[in-house]
Parts: sequence; structure tokens; C-alpha cells
Amino acid sequence: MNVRQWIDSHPHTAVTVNLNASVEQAIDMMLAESCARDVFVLDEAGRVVGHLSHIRMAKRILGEHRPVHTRRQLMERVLGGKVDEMMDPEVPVARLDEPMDELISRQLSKQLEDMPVLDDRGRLIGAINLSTVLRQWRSNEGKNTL
Amino acid sequence: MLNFNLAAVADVPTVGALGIIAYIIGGSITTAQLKRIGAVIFSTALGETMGAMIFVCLMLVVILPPLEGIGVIQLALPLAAVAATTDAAATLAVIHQYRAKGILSDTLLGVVAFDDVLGIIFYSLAIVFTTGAILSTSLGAAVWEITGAIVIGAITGWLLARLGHRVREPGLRLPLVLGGIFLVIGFSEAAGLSPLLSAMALGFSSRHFMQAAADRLFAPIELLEELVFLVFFTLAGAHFQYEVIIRYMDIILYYVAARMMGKLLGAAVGARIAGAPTIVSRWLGLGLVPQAGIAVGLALSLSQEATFQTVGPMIINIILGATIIYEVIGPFAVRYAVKFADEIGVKRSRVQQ
Repeated sequence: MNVRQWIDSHPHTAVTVNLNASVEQAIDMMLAESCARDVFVLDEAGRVVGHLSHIRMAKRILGEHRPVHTRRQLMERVLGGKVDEMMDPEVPVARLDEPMDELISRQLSKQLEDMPVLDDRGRLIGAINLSTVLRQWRSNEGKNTL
Repeated sequence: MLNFNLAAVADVPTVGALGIIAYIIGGSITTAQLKRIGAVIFSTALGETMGAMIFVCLMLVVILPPLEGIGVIQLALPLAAVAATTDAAATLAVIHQYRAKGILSDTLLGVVAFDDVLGIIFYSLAIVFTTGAILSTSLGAAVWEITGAIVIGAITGWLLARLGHRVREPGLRLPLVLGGIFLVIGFSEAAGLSPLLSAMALGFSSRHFMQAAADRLFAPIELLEELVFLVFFTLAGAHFQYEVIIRYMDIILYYVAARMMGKLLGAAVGARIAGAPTIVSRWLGLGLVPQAGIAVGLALSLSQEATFQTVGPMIINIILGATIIYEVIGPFAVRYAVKFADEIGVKRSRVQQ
């Protein structure tokens, strides 16, 4: 099975925000979706330009509970900032013709709950959700159906 | 028996370790954050760093004994610049311990986050103006010593960012950054430029050009910050001389008092100019009393300058003696600052920590 076939049979929408969103807005968007752990940042043209993990956002939002900060963390805590200042601009993406078992290997190594899937023009059309893959795996009692 | 004089070989590790700290401090703030920093934090940080410098410098000019081959002001100026730095970790730890929240705590964190940037700049300028080209040649040469360092740091930072984008292997990022820092420091030393300013410019520039991906160039080296302070204290410990501390105890006590007065008054004036609430202008200076690792590192660096080698033990032991006092009274001062501002929450238990 390749990514296109998986997306057709298991449609999943990734959480997205625009470049000017605040970190608080991004975390609100993520919390609105149950089980979401990744937020993808889109530019004006709808291209994926960054990724925020929930642990990265939690570290910022809950920073006051940490007794030790690096100088950058202290400055971020004091001065805040938008998502474009804290996102990871190198986002791993899935290709539509990529075999699912190869994609899962990459997704696990990148520790992503949602792996974004882009169309030929680089626009986000969905995501491979790791929990959905796990659910599928368990429902087939461990038989490889990918 | 090993006959190894650690103090005699301290130059290279001191310069390298200070370069790492300057790089981290330079990269601690972005251009976007600089635009958002706000008048109160900027003005208060400027006021307290300059206040500490002015008070300590005036005190040293009055109290320092005549020194062989060195003018009193020549030594007082860089020693006063060392007084501008603050131990942000101690202030943060107390604020965390007492769950302090409010306008004073927020402003205090902003000021301690920013004032080491000013401290390193003031120290570098003081070194240039007391030991550098200005003494031997001209003001133009001194300007070159400063601007050349910034330009070299900025260009190397751009190159480092370009390489940082290409290096995918996480294990190679630390050697890459360390290589960049040591390259810039080495070149600056050889070209007669300020190594601290160039390392700080390197940090600021590489963060600017890496933008949101800068974590790759800073996360690995930030893990070394505690190790660097360990190096400073170990090297300073090798210079520790009980009899020197006793001989200069009066200077140490005056240094401590002058720095505290400068911090308190400078912060108050800076905060008032920016229109901060009275609670901030009145108590914030108390939260700036702690001083530790960076001051010790700068004192080590100062003692290794050729100009000051005859008074090296005096410099290090004054700052070490003052640091011991500040480490004892500093956390209490921060606690009283947040207490007087009525910002103490529920104290954390040891288990919760």
C-alpha cells in the first residue's frame, strides 16, 4: 500500500496555523482536536513551512514551572513570540507514491504523530496519523496490511 | 608528586570558555525580540548595569592603592564592567522557589535575561579602551578593534548558519559550532580584535540567519554552559589565595557595597525614566544582587591581559571574595525584592522541586 491509497481509505486532517499565529493560538488549535500532537505552519500560499510539536509548545506555555532555563528560554518566556520564531522549518513530508512501510519507518524516527502529506504543488492534503496506523495494525492482530 | 601549576596554563581554556558564553549570550536574543523588548526592561537593564559600573569605578578610584605601572582608572574601568553582570540562574531559582508572579517578577526576569548582553559589551569596550589600541595608537584603531570584531563575528555567523542548514547529522553540530567559535576567537586574537565581541556577534548573527532553525546551533552548546562555569571556578580556585583575600578584604567589602548601591539606584532611575510602576523602580534592584560565573570568567580573562598580569591575583581574589558574599546574600535579596512587592506565591516543597 502506498500513501495515496492510505489517505483515500483513512482520511485525516492535520492541525494547521498561519505564520502570524501566536503560540497560544497554535496550542488551542491542537487541543481542539483530540489526540493531535503536531501543528503545521502554513504560509500565505498554503505551503507547509514549519512544524511545532506539542512538547515544544508545552515547554513554552508551562515555562514558569521549570526552575532552570537556558538564556534563550528565559528570553522567550519574557518576550513571547509567534509561531514563526519557534517552529522547526525542516518538516518531514510524505510523498503520495511512497510505500507505507517505508513511510512508517521515517515517521517513527521523526517522532511525529501526524506525518503531513503534500500534493504535487506542495500543498497539504492530509496526514498519516500514527494512532490510526496502530489501530489498523491491532485490528488485524499484527498482520501486515500496510 | 605531580608538579602542575593549573593557574599558569589558564589562558587558553579561559578565552575558549568565555567565547562559548559570549556566543550563547549573543544568540540569546533575536532581532524580533529586540524590537519587542520594551522600554521598561531596556531602560532598567541599562540603568542598573551603568549604575553598578559607575559606583564601582568611583569607589575603586578612591580606594585602590597606587599600582606599579598601571593607572588606577585603567584597572578600575574593566573591574567596574565586571560588576555589571548578574547571575540570572540564581534570580530565576528564587522566583521559581517562591512561585513569585507579578509585574516586578516579570520585569526582573526580563532585566536579568538582557543585562549580561550589556555586561559583555561594556567589558569588551573597557578592555579596548584600557589595554587595546587606543593606548598605543589612535581612536581609529580602537574603533577598528570593536567594529572589526563585530564584522568578523557577523560574517562567520552567516557562514555558520549556511553550514548549519546543511549539516543533518546531530552529532556534528557541536563540533561545528565549537569550531566556529574557536576560529573566530583565534582570528580575533591574531588580528588584535576583541574576541568576546566577535564571539557575541557570531552568536547573534548565526541565530539571525538560522531563524527558527537556530535551535540546532544552540541546543548542543547550551548543554556546555554549566561545564564552562565549572571550568571558571576550577581555574579561579587555582588562583585562590587566602592571604590576598585578607589583605584586600576592605576593597572586597567596598566592591560589594558599591555594586549593590549601583544596581539599586541604577535600576530605580532606569525604571522611573521608562515610566515603570513604583513597585518596580523601588524593589527591582534587590533582585539583581546575585553575581557568579560570568563575573569570575571575566576576572580570569582580565587577570590574563598583559597589562594587568602584575595585579592578576588581586583581581581574581577580589572578584572571588565578592562572589562568595553575593552567593550568600544574593538569594535573600531576591527573596526580599519579591516579598516587598507582595508577589510571593505558595512556596514549593522540596518534593515538588
